[in-house]
Amino acid sequence: MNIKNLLNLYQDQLHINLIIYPFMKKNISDISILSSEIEKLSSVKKIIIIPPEELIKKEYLSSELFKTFSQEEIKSYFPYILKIYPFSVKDYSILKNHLSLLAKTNPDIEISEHKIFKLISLASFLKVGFLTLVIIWLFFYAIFLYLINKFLNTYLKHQTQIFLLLGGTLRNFKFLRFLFVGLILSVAFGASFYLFFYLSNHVLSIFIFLKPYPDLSKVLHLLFLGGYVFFVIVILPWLAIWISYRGYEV
Amino acid sequence: MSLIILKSVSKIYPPFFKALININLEINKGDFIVLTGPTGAGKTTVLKLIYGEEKPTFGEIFYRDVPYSKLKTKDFSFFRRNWGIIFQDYKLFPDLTVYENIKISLILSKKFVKEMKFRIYEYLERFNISQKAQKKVKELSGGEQQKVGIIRAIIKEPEMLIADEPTGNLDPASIKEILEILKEFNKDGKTLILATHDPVILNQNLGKIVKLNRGEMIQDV
Ligand SMILES: Nc1ncnc2c1ncn2[C@@H]1O[C@H](COP(=O)(O)OP(=O)(O)OP(=O)(O)O)[C@@H](O)[C@H]1O
Ligand SMILES: [Mg+2]
Repeated sequence: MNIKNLLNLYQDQLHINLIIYPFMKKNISDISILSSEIEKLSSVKKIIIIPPEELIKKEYLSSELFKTFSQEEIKSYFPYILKIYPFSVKDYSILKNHLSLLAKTNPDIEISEHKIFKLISLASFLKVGFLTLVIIWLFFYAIFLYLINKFLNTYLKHQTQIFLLLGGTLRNFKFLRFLFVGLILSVAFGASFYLFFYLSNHVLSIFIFLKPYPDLSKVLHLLFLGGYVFFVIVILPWLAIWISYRGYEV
Repeated sequence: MSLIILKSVSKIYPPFFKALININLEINKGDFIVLTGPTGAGKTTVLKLIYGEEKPTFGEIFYRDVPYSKLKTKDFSFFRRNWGIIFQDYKLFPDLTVYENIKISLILSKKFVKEMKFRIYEYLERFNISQKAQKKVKELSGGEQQKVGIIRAIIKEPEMLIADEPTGNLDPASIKEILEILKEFNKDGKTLILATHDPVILNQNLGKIVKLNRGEMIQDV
């Protein structure tokens, strides 16, 4: 779920740099034409053109360089850079495909991505993967609960039947079973939440741009978390117990 | 009003074993019904249908004019508190003591709870097994277990007693004792359904004899 925060955070900073080397003696009008061509792509939100002059202004160039070469000379070695912003994370991958096609056909154009942004295609894939994982996990979890109850029922079948034939009801047994299962699940969840927060705190102190999820100071997150926990340790077990008991009652 | 009515009841055990074929039986309050017939005739099946462990494949059963098909597990639990059932295979809790096994029955039926201890020992004395009260049921002999099963059913003074082969494992003296208890039970105007092929009991000409053979009712005297 941190992926989501990550994506939001980088929505504004998400861009691909197109580096245009000056081998073909490109001038600003050539660049503008290219830029407006790219801007026609539906995935492009805006383009910022960074001319060589601006790159030269950066202070990391040593003053030695300026003594030996004239400003014009230096400029001719520096590329134009187009900062191309996509509309959304989804568009990022589409845009990248377009641009790599462009870069392949023009030897003086190169694509540069931030390393972290390379992860984004992966991340958006993982987001889908994560949901699938959650669903599969819940599915297996429910099956597991059902089977363990079925097993307990089979194991206790004889006793249960006698009890019913003597006029007992299973309500209290179901409740006891629920307490028993619920207790184990609660302990397991407590432990895993502790581990999760412990780990996420560590991870967060390393990657400060990540936001914690769930953010316990946010009501919505708390509600979501509460609903999830309720579903997983109350609804599902109860359903599993209830279903597993059918057919065992006489 | 009849207590129990079986109306054109057939029972087929999966996949297709016909255990009972078109049984019609009316049991009134205070009746003494003796179900008899050779082994495998379907006596136990009739009783299981009556106390609801099995459901009829065809036909309907009524308790006080209420059809069984309308009843839920919970309703049966409620009725069984007022029914005493003696099972052919005893159905005791093997890891509990004799005393505890009987106690459960009283607690579930919510009867004689205050004088429970006194009452349980009274019955155990009567059946000559009071010295086994604190023994686990699995440590008892077959006949002793059968006695515990009988006590568990009758101690709560049910309105209807269903007894499946209650004397199968007992010596003649004990059989006689139990016959006396059953007669006494019926004298109080309570309903009794007994399945047996014990000639000693059959010769006594008790109540209404219902004879089964291969799932069919062949005699209804
Ligand atoms: N759960 C079951 N599944 C399949 N067949 C069954 C089942 N219970 C009983 N039967 C069959 O139904 C027939 C009648 O069984 P039932 O127990 O009613 O006989 P019974 O008259 O009580 O015999 P017994 O005198 O030996 O107690 C038997 O042939 C038995 O094999
Ligand atoms: Mg039988």
